[in-house]
Amino acid sequence: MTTNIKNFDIIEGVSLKAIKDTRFKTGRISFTMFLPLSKDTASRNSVMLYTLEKSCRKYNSFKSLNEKLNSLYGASLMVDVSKLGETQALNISLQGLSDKYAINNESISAEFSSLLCDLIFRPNIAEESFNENEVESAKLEVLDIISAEFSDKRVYARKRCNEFMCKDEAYSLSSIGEKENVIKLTGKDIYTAWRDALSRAKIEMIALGDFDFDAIVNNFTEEFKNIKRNYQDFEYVKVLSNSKKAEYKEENMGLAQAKLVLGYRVEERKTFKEKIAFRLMCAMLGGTPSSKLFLNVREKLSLCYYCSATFDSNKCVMFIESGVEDDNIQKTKIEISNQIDLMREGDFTEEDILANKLALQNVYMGISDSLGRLENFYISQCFQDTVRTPEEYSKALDNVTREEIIEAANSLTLNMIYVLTE
Amino acid sequence: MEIKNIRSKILGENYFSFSHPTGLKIYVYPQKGYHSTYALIGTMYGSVNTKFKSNDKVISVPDGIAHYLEHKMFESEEGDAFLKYSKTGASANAYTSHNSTCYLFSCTENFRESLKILLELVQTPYFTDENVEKERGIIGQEIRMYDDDPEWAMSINLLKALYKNHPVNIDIAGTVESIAKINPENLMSCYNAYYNLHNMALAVVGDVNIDDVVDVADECLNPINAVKIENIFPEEPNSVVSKKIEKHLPVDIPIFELGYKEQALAQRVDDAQLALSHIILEAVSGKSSDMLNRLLKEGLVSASSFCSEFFEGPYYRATLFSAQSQKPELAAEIINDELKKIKTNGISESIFENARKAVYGRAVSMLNSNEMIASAIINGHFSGRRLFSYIDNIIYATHHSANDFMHEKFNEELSSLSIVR
Repeated sequence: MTTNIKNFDIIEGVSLKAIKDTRFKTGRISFTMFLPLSKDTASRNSVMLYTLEKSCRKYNSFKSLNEKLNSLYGASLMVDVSKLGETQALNISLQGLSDKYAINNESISAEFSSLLCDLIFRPNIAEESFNENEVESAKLEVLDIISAEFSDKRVYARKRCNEFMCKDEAYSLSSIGEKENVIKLTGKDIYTAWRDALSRAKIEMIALGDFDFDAIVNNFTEEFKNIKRNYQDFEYVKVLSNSKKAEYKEENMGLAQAKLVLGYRVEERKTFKEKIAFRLMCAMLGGTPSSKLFLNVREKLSLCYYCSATFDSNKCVMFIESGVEDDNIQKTKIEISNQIDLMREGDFTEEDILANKLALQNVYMGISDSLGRLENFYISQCFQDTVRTPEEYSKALDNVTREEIIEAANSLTLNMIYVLTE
Repeated sequence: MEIKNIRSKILGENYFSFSHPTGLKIYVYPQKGYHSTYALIGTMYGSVNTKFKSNDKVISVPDGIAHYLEHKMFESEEGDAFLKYSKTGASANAYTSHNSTCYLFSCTENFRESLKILLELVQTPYFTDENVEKERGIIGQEIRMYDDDPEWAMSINLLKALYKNHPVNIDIAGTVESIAKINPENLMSCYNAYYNLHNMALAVVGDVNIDDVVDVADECLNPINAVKIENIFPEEPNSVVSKKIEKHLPVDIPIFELGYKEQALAQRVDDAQLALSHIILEAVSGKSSDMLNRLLKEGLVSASSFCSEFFEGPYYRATLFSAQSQKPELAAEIINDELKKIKTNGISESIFENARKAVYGRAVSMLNSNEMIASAIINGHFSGRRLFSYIDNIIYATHHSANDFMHEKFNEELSSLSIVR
């Protein structure tokens, strides 16, 4: 059980969660900056994050930084940009081997937090600018990610449905930014982004493994003494209630298989109880091999290889995605709609509830067997008033009632039908 | 039944292995304190096994049949295995690769019941004209999904460019045309040959009691006579089919994969060779390498899109480099140039040491994951490799042996470039 969690408030808007766990061969320290997602800043923030990964004052080239990481037994430096609600989450993490596995008895884990601090707080800057060559290199990383999102048609179709459905809302924006904005960025822009992020972002740190946590807390506390913070709480998401008629959008791309994405608004799930009930409903509808969409759209009707439902509990939107032949799009839409109606009418058995509940509980209870999953699990709750453990999520599923599942199904409104055709 | 306790002195870890009386080889790797238990059962039957001799009878089968068989194994006369797993809460799946098919589950409760489902699943083939036909539609959609995948297209094209005859050049799922030839009879031929307990292995990883595994095995496994299989592979020339292959798909930035074919025998790469291959790859193309840093400096690739891989199986072996690039031909030229340099000059001792440490660290880190341990054990079982022996060989690898071994690799004449733009 991950009950060994200590919370530290470093400074206003900056906190650290220390999770002691001696089961793993590695430890991991993660630093995530949350900023409101905006078209004006998304691209420069992404490029800033990827520039931090290139070097720092102490290891002032990508080569020398990675030689250092290799010398720490292949310690892994990872950066990632994602969306949480309507914030942009900029994550930089370092994961490396625990000391007891070092061949020559070196003490390596003590270096992880100081190296991470070097990268975040002492980057390779001169005259209020990042190195232009490194910024160009970081821009290429971000452009590659944007390109990869386009190349993966399943991801692209989901992105487009979201853009159309949430047009004029921050949620429609890509967390990684836009190509035309990335291209224009300079070393000075990135310097501004870096200063701004350290000053204004809500910062969540997590240290997991078998570390000297006091040393890590001290390291970061000392660093923030040198940072001029101007933090103000901000609204991390706006949930819109919606009763508008569903729109239809179609784009052609000459694909072998069409992609169908249905976007739904969900009436705001204000309480944890309501959110967990919706999660279970969503699993029953299209989240597991026991779900209605899997059993009917795929298995019974053989219309597709995948037909799945996912729920964003922060924004209260749900998407159903499927890959189908052009000729079967209409049939698939009808069947999906039919299965949702059946959920609304309570056409499911106690066995159906149990099967999907067990499947979700299996997921929650397995979270603490992975440093990465644990980290994501806690980061995703950083705007919640109450932070819960995976065990608490699992237990809460036991109390979801049939009526709550029906209510959840009835809280859906279809807003957007998006088709990316052959 | 003799249970062997395999230990690693360096890591302080151990796992167990034994041969069940029915012929199934079983491995149990304890992960104390883990909530999930992961079980993986595999057979050495993949997309490359298109021709084989089973008890002296030569059988040829359509492309994609191993993958089709994997889909069908979830059905039995009593119903779908997913339905059975839904009562235990286990998350189940399966996959087919070039040279194996594996069935798995992960559970936090009801381990014994879930293991029972897994062992019964692989012993109860159920193929009818109707259920085989139904699957054709689903797999057809799966194939079409991959047809739109640029990375998939890039990889399969590279294999077609490198290999003239070897069935590693076949798409794992086959084609819509090839799966049209699959029927209950040829599915059963493949099943009878390869899904014989004497040709299979099971790995269980988690905070599990070995007695539970033995009990369920005793209860569920049915004795069966061994079947002798001889895999038949065509002769493969020591040359490539084409130096370059290109496909057009809607991508924003082109992607490429450059492959260097090596001479390969039936004998799989052993632990020492695998360890050396990984160390060499880290030294020549890792993030601190001259190769990658030159590509980054010239703005040809991003660090996050650049990958390298040592790829091997029965009668095939190659090293692959891939990335996104606006100038794929130029990027490939630079990769080739840097490989030539390092073969001429050799890997320096300091670069070798750092690469060795990094490869060791990543190999040990992998032991965090039940899934990766199980996969390594099963792959190792079918290829004659052992998990701890591989890690030991990383530590004992020498600078001299790495440079020697490198001379067998990166032959430009045996290279091909696949581009999707």
